[in-house]
Amino acid sequence: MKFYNGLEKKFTSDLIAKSISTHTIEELHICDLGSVDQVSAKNKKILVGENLKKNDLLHLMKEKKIHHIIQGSAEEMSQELLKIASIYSIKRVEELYELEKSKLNDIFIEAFLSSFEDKKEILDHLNQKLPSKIESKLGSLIRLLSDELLTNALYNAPNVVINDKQKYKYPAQATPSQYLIGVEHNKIKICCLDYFGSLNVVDLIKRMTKVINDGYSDSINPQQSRGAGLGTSILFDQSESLTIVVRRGHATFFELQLSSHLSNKSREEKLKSINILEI
Amino acid sequence: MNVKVENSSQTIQINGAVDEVFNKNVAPVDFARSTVIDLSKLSLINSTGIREWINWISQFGSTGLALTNCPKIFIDQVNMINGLIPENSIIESFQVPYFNEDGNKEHIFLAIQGQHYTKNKVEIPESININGVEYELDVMPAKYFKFLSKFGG
Repeated sequence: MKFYNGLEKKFTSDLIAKSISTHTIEELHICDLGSVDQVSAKNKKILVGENLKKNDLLHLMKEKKIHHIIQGSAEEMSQELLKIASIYSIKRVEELYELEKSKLNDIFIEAFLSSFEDKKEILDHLNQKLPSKIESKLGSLIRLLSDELLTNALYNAPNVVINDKQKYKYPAQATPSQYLIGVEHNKIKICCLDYFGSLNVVDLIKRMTKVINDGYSDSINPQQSRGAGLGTSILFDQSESLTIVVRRGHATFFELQLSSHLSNKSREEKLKSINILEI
Repeated sequence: MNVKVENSSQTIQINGAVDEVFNKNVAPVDFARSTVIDLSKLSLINSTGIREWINWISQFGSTGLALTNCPKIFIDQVNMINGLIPENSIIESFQVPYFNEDGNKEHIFLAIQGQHYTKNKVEIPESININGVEYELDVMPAKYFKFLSKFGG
């Protein structure tokens, strides 16, 4: 691949000398892939990390205003760059959901969500729909991550005070959120799309930094917080790649990735990639 | 949630998920009584549940708590979140996952306070043999055993 060879050159020349390096999308020749809107892509920084830990990633996003940090094998980084290219090629956040869905080899569940019952039903379905090989190794982790995504879409995204979560339903005029889980080669992808677009990414990164660096109770009052920081920190902590794309007032897209073939230990040792941005 | 009272102490069994409806499922508890919380049947703890849990467990105040059979999903959160359990609590036992790569099989080992660990010492094997099958420790020790310095007894 033309784009991959170009990226590899950058790795050897720039990255080995320094522990980290930033490149603009144009430098990385993502534009060669075709459909990227060159104007929107201009000056968007991608940081290629080497052995960056969770708190380093968040610190760099917070302090250096970097939207994309990619790490891992050449193949994984190549996949991340293709996703980043997709982000800048779309007009609406919903298109990103469809693009990521189209890459899946197998879809386990796709569902709509607008109430506590919907959430329960989706989580119950996971027990039945996950292939047994995945269920035995990753079942409880997938349920936790899915639960966090659904909880966020259901309670945090509407941005209203909810007194009784068990009885809460989206307002009749609100479009239900969408949940998707499937596999692309050896990566399990879990996606969630809500049509509220209420997430403030700057505030989110600050909250996540506090949770990851200081622990929850030191930084967030459990009586007051609506919880996007804690929930998203759990998603970040437990997954290999986290992508959040927001168009304020329209939609928010979340995507998580897990390797289907790794042990817990190997997964925890893996370098993480992260993309958080508003478009 | 089930609560069993014996003489001056009580055992609380947490069943299922600690989530947004956790506070609706809590049974009446004497927060001044010596308490053991058994987490063997905990299936999930999410961010909304963590808030409910902290509000509930903080009512034990200075009463020493003992937690038993803590699964990995709980230990991960104890390691990440300060205040998930009160400062003077002791984790009396917790689950440690082991994995056999060839057979794609998991084995859960129960580590017991005093026998396999204390606050200052961890003696949990790198691998174990069950019926001739070798299982490797399936966590990163530095990350997973971090809580022991505080809650290892």
